[in-house]
Amino acid sequence: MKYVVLLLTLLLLLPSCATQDVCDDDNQSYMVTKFKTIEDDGLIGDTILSGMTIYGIREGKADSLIYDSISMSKAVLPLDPNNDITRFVLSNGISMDTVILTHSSEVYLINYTCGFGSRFSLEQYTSAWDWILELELREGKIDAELDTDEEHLWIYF
Amino acid sequence: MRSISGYIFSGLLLLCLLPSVYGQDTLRTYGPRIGINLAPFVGFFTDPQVLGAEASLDFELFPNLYPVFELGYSSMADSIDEVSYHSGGGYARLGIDYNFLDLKDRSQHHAITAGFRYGSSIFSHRAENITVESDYWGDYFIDSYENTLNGHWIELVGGITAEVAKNFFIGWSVRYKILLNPDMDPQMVPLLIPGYGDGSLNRVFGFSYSVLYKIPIIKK
Repeated sequence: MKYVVLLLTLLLLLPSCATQDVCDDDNQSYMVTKFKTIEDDGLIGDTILSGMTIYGIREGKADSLIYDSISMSKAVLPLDPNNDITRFVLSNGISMDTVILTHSSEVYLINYTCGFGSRFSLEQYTSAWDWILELELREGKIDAELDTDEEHLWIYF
Repeated sequence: MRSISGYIFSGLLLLCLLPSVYGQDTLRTYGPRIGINLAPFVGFFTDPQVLGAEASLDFELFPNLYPVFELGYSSMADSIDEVSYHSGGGYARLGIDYNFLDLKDRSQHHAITAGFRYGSSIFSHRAENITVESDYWGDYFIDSYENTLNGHWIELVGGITAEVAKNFFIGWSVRYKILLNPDMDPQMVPLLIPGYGDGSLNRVFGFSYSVLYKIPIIKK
């Protein structure tokens, strides 16, 4: 009997070690694009474009603006987890172009409180018209845990 | 930390009490010792519930050296924010314990041991009803994700075993476990690696509380 009591006492002493994650993050995956220009002296410089409007081409859905007529030097754009291609239309009211991105993605667990997100791998990137001169890949891996100073794609105008 | 010192205190108390339990006996017996680890049954009362069972086999092959083999199974299921998760499988550990008590003090087979284990688990885990949020493009759903995995770890083990009746023992141990392949599934960290614990932690503490019976084959 003594040992039964002892055993129960020991079992009650067990450490409870539950980990509790707190989720205050956005689970969506964003591609950070930076606007660039080639100066007269041939150096690459940042550029600010005014009146910029950006939206994604969503099959079977009404267009919805991500940015609406604002001045900006970079754009943070959500990638489509449902498809292998994401297309964005960029316009400044005068010129217009479409960026076409081909990617693969896999679902992964961010943590057990936040749930799942997509981890994208950019495979091809091109623009449809002439306004955008060039696209330069800086970082092809895009996941839901966005590093604030990360830049994925440079867009040259 | 308080609970660990609680263990040590209770264990030492047990050892002090024991010599009065039965008479001194200079005849020593040897043989394989089988044990049931009662610690996994605590999982019945935790949230989420972890179901499991574990048995052990050891033998004093050389004086004070006990090769140990442990075999077990555990599984769990939990629902976290719409995702239902399941993990389960078997595991085995192989290692050795060294008894610090002097041989001459051991007419009974009490032991204060330190040792190590190598552990391996083959298990599968699965999540259902997965949603990847996208406000702009629309949420992406998949029915399930499943993967079969093989986890490896090592354990540093300290314990006390007391012979409470002839050939019957109780023993407890505290284990410090080091996961060798924490990136076994880059898409989904296992919530339970059977025999190890939470796969999101590279180091965990564990414990065992066992009742054991030694089959007295050899008498000296």
